[in-house]
Amino acid sequence: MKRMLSLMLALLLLSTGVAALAEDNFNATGYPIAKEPVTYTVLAVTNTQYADDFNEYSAVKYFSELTNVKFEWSYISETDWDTQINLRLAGGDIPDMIYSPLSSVQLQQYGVEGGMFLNYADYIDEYMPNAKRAFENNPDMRSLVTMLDGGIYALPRKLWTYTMAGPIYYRGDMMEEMGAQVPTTVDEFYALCAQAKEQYKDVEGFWPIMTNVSYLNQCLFPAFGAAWQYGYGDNGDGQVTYNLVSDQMRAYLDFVHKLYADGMVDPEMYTMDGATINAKVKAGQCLFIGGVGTQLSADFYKSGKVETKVLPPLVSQYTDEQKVIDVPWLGYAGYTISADCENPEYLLRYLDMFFTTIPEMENNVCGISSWLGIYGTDWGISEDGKNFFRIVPENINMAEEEYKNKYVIDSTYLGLVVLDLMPINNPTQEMKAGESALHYYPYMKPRLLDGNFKYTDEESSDLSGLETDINTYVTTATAQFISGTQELNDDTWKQFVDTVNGMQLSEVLRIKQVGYDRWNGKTE
Amino acid sequence: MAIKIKQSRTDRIFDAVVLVLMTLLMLVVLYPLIYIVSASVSDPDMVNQGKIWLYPVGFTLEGYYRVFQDAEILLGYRNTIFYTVVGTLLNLALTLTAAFSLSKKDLAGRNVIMFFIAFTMYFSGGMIPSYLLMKNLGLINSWLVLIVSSGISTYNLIISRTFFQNGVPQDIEEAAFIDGCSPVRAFVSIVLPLSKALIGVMALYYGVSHWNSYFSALIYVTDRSKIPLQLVLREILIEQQMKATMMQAGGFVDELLLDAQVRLASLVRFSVIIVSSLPVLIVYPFLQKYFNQGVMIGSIKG
Amino acid sequence: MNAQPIPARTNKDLDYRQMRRSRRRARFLRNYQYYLLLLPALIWYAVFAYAPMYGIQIAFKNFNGAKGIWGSKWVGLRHFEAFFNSYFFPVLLENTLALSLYSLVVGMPIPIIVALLLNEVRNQRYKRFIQTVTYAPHFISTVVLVGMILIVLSPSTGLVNMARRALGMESYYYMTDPAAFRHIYVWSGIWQNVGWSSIIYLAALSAVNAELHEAAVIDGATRLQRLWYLNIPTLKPTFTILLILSVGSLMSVGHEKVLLMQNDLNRTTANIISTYVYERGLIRGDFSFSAAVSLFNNVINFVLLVSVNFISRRLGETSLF
Repeated sequence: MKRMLSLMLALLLLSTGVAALAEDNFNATGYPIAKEPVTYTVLAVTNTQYADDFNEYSAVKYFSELTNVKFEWSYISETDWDTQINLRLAGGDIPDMIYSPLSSVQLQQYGVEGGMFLNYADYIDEYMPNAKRAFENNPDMRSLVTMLDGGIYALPRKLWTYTMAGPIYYRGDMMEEMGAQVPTTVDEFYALCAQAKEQYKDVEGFWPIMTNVSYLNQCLFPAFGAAWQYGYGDNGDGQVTYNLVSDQMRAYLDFVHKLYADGMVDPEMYTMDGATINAKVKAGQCLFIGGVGTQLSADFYKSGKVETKVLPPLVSQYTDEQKVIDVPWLGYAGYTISADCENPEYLLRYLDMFFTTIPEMENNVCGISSWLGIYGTDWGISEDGKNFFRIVPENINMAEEEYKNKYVIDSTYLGLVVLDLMPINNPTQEMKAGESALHYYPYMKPRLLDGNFKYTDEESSDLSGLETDINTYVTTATAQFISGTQELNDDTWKQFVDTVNGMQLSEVLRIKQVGYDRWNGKTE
Repeated sequence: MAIKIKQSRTDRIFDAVVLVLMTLLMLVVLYPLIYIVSASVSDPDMVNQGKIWLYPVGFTLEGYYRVFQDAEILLGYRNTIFYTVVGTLLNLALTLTAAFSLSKKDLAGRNVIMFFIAFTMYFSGGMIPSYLLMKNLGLINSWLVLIVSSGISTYNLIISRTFFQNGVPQDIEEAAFIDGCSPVRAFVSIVLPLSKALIGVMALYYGVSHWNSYFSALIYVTDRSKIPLQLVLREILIEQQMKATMMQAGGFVDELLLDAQVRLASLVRFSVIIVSSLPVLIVYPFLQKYFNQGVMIGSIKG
Repeated sequence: MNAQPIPARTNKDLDYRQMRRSRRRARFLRNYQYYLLLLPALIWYAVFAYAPMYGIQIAFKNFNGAKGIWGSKWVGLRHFEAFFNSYFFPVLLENTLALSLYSLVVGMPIPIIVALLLNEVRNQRYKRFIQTVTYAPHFISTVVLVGMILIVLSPSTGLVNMARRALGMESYYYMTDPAAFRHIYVWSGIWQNVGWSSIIYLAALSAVNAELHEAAVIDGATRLQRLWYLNIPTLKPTFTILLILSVGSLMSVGHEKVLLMQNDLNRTTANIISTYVYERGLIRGDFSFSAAVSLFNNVINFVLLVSVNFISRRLGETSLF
């Protein structure tokens, strides 16, 4: 009995001692974060582009030295992530932190309902001042990660550069050859295509427009009416609408059908894969290129300079506002912490490092570091503060991005990855950024993030079936209208709209509205 | 002691027709295969522009280089050979014994047992309970998990049973039983030697199934030192394609680099097939001899 | 071998009883050994097939990984209803069955014909060569197969359309034609699998009693007659069993190949149950829904299997059980 008592006393003293030690180890401000190194187990997505051991990354080493926070990595291959992560979660088999993003459903099931994850909302005020500030400046970031119970189980990222757009490009050199002006209306666009078709009719396999249909949807659709989002959008009044059963859609389909029927666009549009499109673009078989314009390097052009340009949004008789949907700057970063993680405070401060912008940078680390690495070592800013460039060792035989993925850091972004400077030293990226900044970014309008609304189980299962079905029907029907398999006239259009409505579109909109109101912080 | 019979005219026509049809079949199948081999060493842009017909254009070994660059390929080969050999042995042991027993029409409960076995072909608990089962048995990431989980293919079991029922004459066995021979001995010394064709086919079916399998490994094996070949190849293949789709979605990466990867992806597709199927194609002729005629000559009189 | 002679010395009745007893014991001994041979397989089925079967209930629940299979909420037939009420249900059913029936009707006889003919090729080396060539396509992954189909059928650079243009016709867009989809799917499948499927028939043919053939030759039968009267009947049991099994998988058309061949324009025939479920899964990771549809498919398959098996038994043919 006495032995037991003294044993318990010893254990008690020991544990308080350890706890005291732990607290003692922690620096609430400044660096390093931990006086003695602290290690966490982490699960990350990997692929053949990345390093074999993330601890070999130069940026990760730098972060470790700076903060004294270390990681023990385990990996799941990118191709198998979906299957394996579900099994691991179902088996309750998770490490301190899951580095790569989980889906809303997984966060809901295992976080909100299963209680397996740490709730950031409880810790932000005390341990993550940068994140707190970032959320105040960007409320959408907070909305993205806030679950139905108000909890936050993953971190967001804001990714902003000038190289993110997927516009319609055109061959500047061909435009000069034809002596043509850049089109501003859809009619001028059509006329230009016709001119190109005639001028280049001897080029084998030439089609004025080489694209897959999604880029037309993204860039041409806004020219035919007031809406800019191909799909579900905000009608301007905080109401969710479906833009694909409107007159705008009808006008758009009429136009694209005309393009298709008159041979202005490659009719293999519906079957070509990315590699085929690239091959055709590189063989000079088009004037307009959908979304993938940067594989035409400086060597491709006779002048030795990159002459690809971005087509600004068009207008028409239906609208005189040039507009286009904005780039997908908001998304999940991941970084879900296990509820069983001991002493998460070091980790929280570590992650907080990345919620800083360039002006707020400390120790050469800011949000951009999660993408490009350490300022001054891996990337730099020009003297006039207008450009950024990557720093790679001489004589390496790989592209900048490839080098970065292998030696500097992987491509998961966290926090505020805001790089609103122009790139230099990379002609195609310069073209993309410069052209987009002039002809795409000024016209961007916010997208409705309906894919990220939070729903209850019931709402979610009702919604997913209806939404998938409507989507399938609409994609097939529009393809038939465009290709001419189905004639587009008043009757068939009415039939189309009626069918979509008959598939309970109103119910879908109602549920999405509930989600939208939640997103905007309006409780029911 | 074959009597030499003169070939009648109908027989000669028959032979000619057979030869023509089979040769046609062979050509129809062969041409695309040659295409694949050529494409695997051609410039991918040429392939995508449809300029390859028979022989390679723009010869390059880039695809193979990329495939073998992955150190894990050799590991994959080694592991898969292990899984295939040991796995097939287990499969054969389980399948042939069961099929033999079930081929006896007067075995009590035969139909009931067959029903329950066939039932499992249609109804299964799915991925998650199986995963949990393996986890509870402590088999996750062990060397045995892929072997044990492959156990028996009911489809193969059924085929084997049919073969034993119809392909092996019952008289021989009957004679042996009257002599006092036990079932096990009959199985081992009489039936098996007469079933070389079946064993050959089963070895091939199971062997190839092991060789091509990746899904079980996906679920049960995360230890990179134990993964099979197909998983490695699949990663190389799919990854390249995922990058291609990412690009189409206007993803945020260096598109010049991505384009190079997309090109490589379409090339690697072909190299992967060759790398993964060549060993099996080489082994097959050795199994082939078991399918040829003349295994059962003059063993029973009257 | 001759039976051992019954000893003539002792009392007839006693010996008879003794013989019956020893025969009964022998039969029992025989039987238990059969079960012994069967045992390992049965154990395997019990542990690896039946033990996890409780997972079927996922189809009747809203599966939540955190709560596990037992803890997830019971919703009864909800997922099934959602499936049956879907706008696309009739179309999916029709498309799936069209593909599998077409494949069955065309795809079952061809490997047999190939096996029979191949068996008759005299030159052994040429025969082996043909065999190896015809079964090689089985190893081509689905991704590459579809890639090849797209290249061959390409309107601009494909073989088929070049032939059409040479004959004065216009290029035809096969891959976007819903009507053409089924033909392309089935025949490319046949191309890929005919060699592989013929292996089992070749093996069965190798077990044909050589004596019967020798006797037939002596009787003056032609090769064709021998094929028709001797070889084909040998294949009947195998064919019947495979037919039963094929009918029993009528609902199970896999998603991978169809998904790769599918595009916006041919979806009216190229949308099948498995691709629909796969796409649903992508949006929500809905295990329960796909489990419910799987269960539905499997029940139908099983019913079909039992029915065809029953018919086969009635007709006096081989049957599964």
